[in-house]
Amino acid sequence: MKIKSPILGIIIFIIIFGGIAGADMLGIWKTKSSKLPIKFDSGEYIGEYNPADIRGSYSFDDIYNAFQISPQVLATAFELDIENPEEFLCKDLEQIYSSMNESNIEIGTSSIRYFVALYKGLPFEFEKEMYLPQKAVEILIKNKTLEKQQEIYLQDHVIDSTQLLKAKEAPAEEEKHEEEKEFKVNGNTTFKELISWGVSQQEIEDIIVEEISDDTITVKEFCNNKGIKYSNVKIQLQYLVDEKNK
Amino acid sequence: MKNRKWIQGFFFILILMIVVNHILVEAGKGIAYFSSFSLHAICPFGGVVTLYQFFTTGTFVQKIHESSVILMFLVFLMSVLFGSVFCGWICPFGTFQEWSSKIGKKIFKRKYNNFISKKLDYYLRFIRYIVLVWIIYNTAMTAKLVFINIDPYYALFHFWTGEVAVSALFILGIVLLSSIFIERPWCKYLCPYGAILGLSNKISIFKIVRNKSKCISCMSCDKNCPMNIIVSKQEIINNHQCIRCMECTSEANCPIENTVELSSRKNNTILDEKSTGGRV
Repeated sequence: MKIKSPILGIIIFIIIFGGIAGADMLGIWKTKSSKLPIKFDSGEYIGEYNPADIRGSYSFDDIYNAFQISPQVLATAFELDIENPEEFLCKDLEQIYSSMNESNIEIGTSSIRYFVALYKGLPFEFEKEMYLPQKAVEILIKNKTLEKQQEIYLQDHVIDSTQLLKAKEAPAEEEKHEEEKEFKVNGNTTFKELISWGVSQQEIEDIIVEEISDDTITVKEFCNNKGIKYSNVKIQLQYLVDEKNK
Repeated sequence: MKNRKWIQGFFFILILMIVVNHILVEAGKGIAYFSSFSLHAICPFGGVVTLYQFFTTGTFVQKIHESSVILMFLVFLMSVLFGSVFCGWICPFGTFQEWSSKIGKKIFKRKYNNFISKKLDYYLRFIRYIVLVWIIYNTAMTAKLVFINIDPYYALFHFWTGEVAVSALFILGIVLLSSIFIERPWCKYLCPYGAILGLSNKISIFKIVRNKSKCISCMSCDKNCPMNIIVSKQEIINNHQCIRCMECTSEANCPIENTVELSSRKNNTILDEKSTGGRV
């Protein structure tokens, strides 16, 4: 039996798209993660979710579903002043504290994994120095799940609240270069500045999906307060600013 | 082989639009009613690298989902039927290399794709198996998508995002440069997925078959094979490098009708009732 190229082309389409359609009908065509980490498959903690498998794409609500740690506890531990902590994504933590990288200190998804492991008394291996905010350490000590050695390590690797506040307020490294350029949206850009650059208040409110009550506040601070992903907003605002100032 | 080129173009544009839409959706915009999967979700090789973790822990390697595994099986099905048609008809990176090879063909004409000595080239073709084993082993040991650090396919569709490893961009650059001298250099020497799919050429139900009695030995098939396979010396092309592009067939470059074709084999003979009235 011979197959000509047009027939082969049709068969390819049927197999690929027919297969996808069939998988979708069976409910097995999934293109996003289930937001549940893997479980320990041996040892004392068999069957428990493994904090080391927490992904950056998980929200605090996903962590609650797996580990029963309230999103508010996580927000407090990492000193996040946000309205909807359950929607906060782990990967955004590193962005907020990115200026800590200058001191070779990373506060991000790995920190959340570490905190969750200590909070639940689960095993956790780390390859580099791990730091936690002061509030996180206080919560863990109060929680009484720490071993003596862990407590000593934490006391030596705590970041005090003043340092964290400075890190939150400092612009990220890449933004420092942008400060020197005109019409560049960065961590210090206020709504008032955006409006002066030609972007209307309505256009800004369409992007942030909120009303602006105080136009002297920085966009970054507004986003952090409202639990909105600042990097997404920044990209869209920059696009508008560039369009208005061509 | 216009059909193939249209299908290649279709899949390339489809993947590009899906990837762009994924990035737009992450930025708060997006094309309504259009897919926004990540590239990993629609890469069948992702299904391959996650198999070890799936069978040992029941979960997938980071960034890989059920869709990758399903696509892996669908491509395996196609491969059992027709050999590595995925490489020749679907893979967007293969398509990209074919498009870039046009530059080399224009510059070097007949010399194009013939710069490397046959002996050296023969051994180099097995490097992709080493790459395959290295990737599968390291992915199994680390549960991380190690391939992303060298994957030129991912680099091609994400180079503007700032999320691509420098090593992957470097390899993309090397492949692009090599395409000026060699056709499909990544496929020939380094592609781990092609390494697996190429093995299906040995067992596929349909193979490229050359009718020796009708062949006039013009070697048009050899000249047009992007993978440098000597089609004119074989009756059945089950070479692990064949991408089933069908450029060697009578539909494309073979001047004699019904001589080189994609055909099934029954009882160790090639059936061609039209031309011979029975067994050949």
